[in-house]
Amino acid sequence: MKWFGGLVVLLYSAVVWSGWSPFTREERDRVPGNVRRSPGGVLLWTGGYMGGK
Amino acid sequence: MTQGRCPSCGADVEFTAGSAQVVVCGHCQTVVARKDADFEALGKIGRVVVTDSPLQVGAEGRYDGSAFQVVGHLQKDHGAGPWDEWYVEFSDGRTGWVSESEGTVHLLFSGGVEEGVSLSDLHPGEKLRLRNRHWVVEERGHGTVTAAEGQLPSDVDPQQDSWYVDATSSKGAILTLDFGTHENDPEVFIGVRLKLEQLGIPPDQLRPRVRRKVELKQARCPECNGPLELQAPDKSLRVGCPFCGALLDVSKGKLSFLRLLEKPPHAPLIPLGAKGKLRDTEWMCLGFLVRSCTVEGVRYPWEEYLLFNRAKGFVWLMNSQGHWVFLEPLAAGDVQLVPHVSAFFDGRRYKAYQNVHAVTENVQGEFYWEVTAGEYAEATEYVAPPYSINVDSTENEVSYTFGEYLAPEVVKDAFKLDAVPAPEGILPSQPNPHKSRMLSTVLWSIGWLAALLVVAGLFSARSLNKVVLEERVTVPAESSPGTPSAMKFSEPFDLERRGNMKVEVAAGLMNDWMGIQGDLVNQETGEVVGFYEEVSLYQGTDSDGSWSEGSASGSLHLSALPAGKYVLRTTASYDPTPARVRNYTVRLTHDTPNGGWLCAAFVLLMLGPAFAFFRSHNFETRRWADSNLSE
Repeated sequence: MKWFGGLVVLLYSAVVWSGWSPFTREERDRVPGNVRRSPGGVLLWTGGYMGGK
Repeated sequence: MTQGRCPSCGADVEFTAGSAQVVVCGHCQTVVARKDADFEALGKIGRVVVTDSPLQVGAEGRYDGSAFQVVGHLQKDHGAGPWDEWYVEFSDGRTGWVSESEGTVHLLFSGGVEEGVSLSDLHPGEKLRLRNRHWVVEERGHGTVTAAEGQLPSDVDPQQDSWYVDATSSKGAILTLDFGTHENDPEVFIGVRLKLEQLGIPPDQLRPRVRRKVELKQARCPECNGPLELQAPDKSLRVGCPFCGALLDVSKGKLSFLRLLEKPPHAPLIPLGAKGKLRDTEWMCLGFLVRSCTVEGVRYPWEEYLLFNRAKGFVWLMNSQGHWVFLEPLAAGDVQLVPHVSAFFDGRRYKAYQNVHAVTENVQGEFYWEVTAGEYAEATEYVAPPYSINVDSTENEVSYTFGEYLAPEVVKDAFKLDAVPAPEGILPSQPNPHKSRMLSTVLWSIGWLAALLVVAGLFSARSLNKVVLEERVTVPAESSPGTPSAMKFSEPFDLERRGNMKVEVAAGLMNDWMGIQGDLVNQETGEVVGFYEEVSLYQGTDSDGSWSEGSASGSLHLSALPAGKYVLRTTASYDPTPARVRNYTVRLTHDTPNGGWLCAAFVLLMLGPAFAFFRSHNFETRRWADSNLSE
């Protein structure tokens, strides 16, 4: 427990510091190159996942 | 002082002790009584045999602030060799009796007659309340006076078989009830256990201890002629021949054959005569016994080694399945006992573990009592690991011993043995090896838990926990689910540093569902972090009453996002029928403390203590599984 407890605290610090969420349902991607921007400069990206059941 | 001549032989006799009524003529062993100015011969008494007692008639000492002198000496036979009792007279007029056994001196003062006490009511192990004290009867026996010398308070009859009961109380108090030849109303003697030094007798007035010799030429087994090296012939009453198994009697100063016993199944692990140092005392192994008990048809044997040190007396080493216990004699009166339930001694409570009938199977070596094979005793053990209280009861005697568990290596090193068998199973008084580890584990866990809370507190204090976006979205009735018509772009917002994101979604629902596809788009890099959160809420009633299922809100955490400008695109999915306006709210909280990790770390930190507790509890469960007295 002497070392295991220290390891747990260390791992906790590491994951909290990194902001890692291994169980999240997020998906990471990049907008396609042909996406246009709005007059305000905002990417108006309407492709990709379309949701629904 | 009264002087005169022995009526029998004419030798000079004198009374120096005012309390003495008879004097034994040193010349002819006549018991002479004084009657006014005359002396009267009452009969003859045997001459005392030399024992190893350091006391002698004429010795002077001081106890409890009063000087005393040893004025008389009785020698009794209780069936276990000569027993010395010394009559002492104090300068303040008090009189008492001093006896000695195994290095302990007993000083007893007469307390008069106790009416109403009956010999038939007193049995070993039973409690007795007398003279405002609680006593435990240890022994009940009888014997005769065989010899005497010096001055005595009353006549002695060598033909008279007298009964006595010995009992002990706390703090070294001892009691002897002398019934004489009567059944009732004994004479009471109350006193204390002392060390010889406490009697204050100058060393030059003590006799050097003379060891009763057994003629070496007779130190051969009369049955097989095997050479017997007796280590303590002055203390021994029985010898078990290691060569042929013959049980020999030593009480008459020579060896005589009693009976042939079955030899032990193997040689003693500690050889007879071996010396070993335990508890800063050098002990010599004198005897070896194999005892056993049978429970539900299964025989459970164990070995007992009798150890001797001339200053400390006798102790035992018990070996059971490779486990060792060091056992010392204990006064029954020092233990508060609830038979078969618990014992209390020296501030510690002992729990009853087992009650068995122990039988002595084999003997080897020398013994200070008249050991016999086949001897039965009721043995009860009370444990508070690593200690134990053991009560052995026979019809005439109860003996208490205090045990302490010893690691096998301690015995191996003490007696320089080549090897000792590895312990098997669990001994009742074996210390729980997991208990100390559990304590250590719990302490470390508490320490690391505190460290975890400190670290979590620091992270919590450092985190921004900032709501960067909170918007209410209305999906028009004519929108199609999952299409750009059900899509909404938020106003751009900034993440000032790298950090995770907590997403909370809430929808106005009733017996409906809604899925929100969210995409966080980094406006500088074009990177997208997408998520999908679906909420549903259904309610109704049935024969069991009202019910509800699901929730109109949900949340999730996203991994760390780099700093930058972001826009959240949300796309709603839902059941298109019926067509109606739908609302939902999305809230993004940046760099928020994730309690999930804290819970996970807490659970991990609890695994150690939980495992340690399980192992410790499992050990105790296995220990008590063999108990026949636990509830």
